[in-house]
Amino acid sequence: MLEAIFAGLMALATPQAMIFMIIGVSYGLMIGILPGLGGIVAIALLLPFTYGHERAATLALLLGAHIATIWGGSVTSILFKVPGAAKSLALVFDGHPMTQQGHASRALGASATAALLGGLIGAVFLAFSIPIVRPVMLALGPSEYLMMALWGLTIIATFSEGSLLKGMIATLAGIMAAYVGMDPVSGTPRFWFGSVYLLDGISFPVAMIGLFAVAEMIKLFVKGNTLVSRVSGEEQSSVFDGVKDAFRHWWLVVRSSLLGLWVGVLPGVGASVGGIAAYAQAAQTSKTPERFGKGAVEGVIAPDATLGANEGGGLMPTLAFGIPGGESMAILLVAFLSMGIVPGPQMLTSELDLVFSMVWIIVIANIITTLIGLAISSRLARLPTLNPNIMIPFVLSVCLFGAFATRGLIEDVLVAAFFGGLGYLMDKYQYSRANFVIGMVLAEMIERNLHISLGLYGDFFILTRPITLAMLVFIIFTTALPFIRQQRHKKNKQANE
Amino acid sequence: MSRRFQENIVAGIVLIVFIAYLLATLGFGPNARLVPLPIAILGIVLVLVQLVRQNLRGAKELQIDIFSSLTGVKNTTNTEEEPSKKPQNNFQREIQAMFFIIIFIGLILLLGPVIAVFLFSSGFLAITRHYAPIKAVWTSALFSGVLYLLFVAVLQLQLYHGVLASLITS
Repeated sequence: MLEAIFAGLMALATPQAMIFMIIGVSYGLMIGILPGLGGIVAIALLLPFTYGHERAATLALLLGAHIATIWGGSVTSILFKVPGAAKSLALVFDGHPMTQQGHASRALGASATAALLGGLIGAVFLAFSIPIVRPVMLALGPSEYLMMALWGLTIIATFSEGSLLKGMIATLAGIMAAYVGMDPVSGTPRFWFGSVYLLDGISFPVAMIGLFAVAEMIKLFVKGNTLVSRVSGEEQSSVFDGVKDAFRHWWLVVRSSLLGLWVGVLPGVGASVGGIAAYAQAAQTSKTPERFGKGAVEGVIAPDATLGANEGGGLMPTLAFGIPGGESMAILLVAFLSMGIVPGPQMLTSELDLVFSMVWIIVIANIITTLIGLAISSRLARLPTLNPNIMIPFVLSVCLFGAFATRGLIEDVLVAAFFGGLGYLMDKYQYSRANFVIGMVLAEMIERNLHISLGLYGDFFILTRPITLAMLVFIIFTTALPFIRQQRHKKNKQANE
Repeated sequence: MSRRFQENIVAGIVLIVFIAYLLATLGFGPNARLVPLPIAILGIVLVLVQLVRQNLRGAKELQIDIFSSLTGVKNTTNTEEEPSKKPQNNFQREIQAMFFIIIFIGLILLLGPVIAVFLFSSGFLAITRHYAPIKAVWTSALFSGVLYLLFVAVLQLQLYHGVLASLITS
């Protein structure tokens, strides 16, 4: 195994591999910072350039770009309240309040460092745990994945903005929006109103660009002030405060990274659930949970560590079983196949060098991303203080161009504008936009796994599958917990009075 | 228009959407409506509960802040009937914002994204008097050029040229 670790590193010690790595990371950062264009788009656009090069170099280009997009997405969440991708959503809750309070540099520093530490933990995990995790993974079936998705939906209640009831309505509306288009199970076209465009469904990135970016620009115009009401240069902390924060909360980083790994390993769950779950566990385990949602640095560290570690976890089922850990892993799988890399058990024997090259790519790409990130953070932090008269036309242009670029369809621009108006109204009347997006993301997973579970295990699958039943009990417990705490608090308060 | 009345209008619209969704799902087969149907029913129930709550309860009781539930600390930021500082002015700005977006979308459909970005940006910068007209034009031209390079030259996006171009060529 040591030989394979060394050989994996040596394969990357060629000029081509090193250049490809730097190009990949720089390109990934750029794509990540553009709203709506996350890792999937980044890899998809690179696919035509993957032929005829060294395998390790091509992997450096693809994985390097993919890893850099993660932090790029965090940047827009923190600075502009615009998640670069669905998985960066949790960064909005505390990252943007930090920016508003003059701690943008600190948030970016904490974000980059947490992502690096999470990435390193993920890489180490990928290297050593394949034989251990395999039986656990195979023990979980569609009914357990259904429970995972339901858990994702219930935990979002823990960070509903304002009214819990409105948050739940927004979640259901998000699920409804996700069912527009062809039903993948029965092949029935649903809610398509005779439009061929709607048969393909509503694109997540386009909806997010509208709900967050376009809506924020409308808000900015209505408010007539800067995104962050302070003058440039009035930063209250530095990037290195954020770096120190990440190391000070090392236990949170470890916990969140392990969560990210676990979510990454579970096929089809995706990093979106991981980021949200990491935020929820950080809030629930904090001694001062009241700071969450108002600029707590832990609310930035936890999701970023999870997202960083998720990649290592996600690569494992992708490589070992050919089952992608998430959407971006699915497109990586396509790239692997086009390069002649066939996932399967042989990856752990005859292709072990290549697996370790990927481990090293994750490590090196994370380090390069963090170094670039820390270097440019203080400059990036000044962006939200730009005059709205400059911000609005330029950000709106990038957003609508980005909406068009996701699938090359002009209808997506209209959909982004529609969701922009919807997002503005949701924000104004406090129907959580985040819940809407999470509902959209989890809807397909819920429906698919429910159908498979019913087909495989019958109508009473919850009762016949012990792990599923245990997970359901866990979901009920975690959902009821806040209400129980509220009742206890009321009783204590009444007793004290 | 009071905040409560506005909230009722919004909840009413959401209720109509859920009911329409429910009616649409009834036309699907059992597999296709397995999840959408209960979602629609649950949505209708929740919106009705929301409507009842926001009309029968006091303004302060309308919000269940989950952070308060978790921590016992009151969140003072959200109040349902918090009056807007300048409601009339806000409404005018909202209409203006919608107008700008409609104009921008119209330009994109008519002329394609690159020319639309140039015209919209220079128009916006000039109208808001952020830049003098000439500076607004060259700043927008530079910005449009950067977007063109990024999306078309680097990312090789197949550009949409607008309805006008297709009318001229046909």
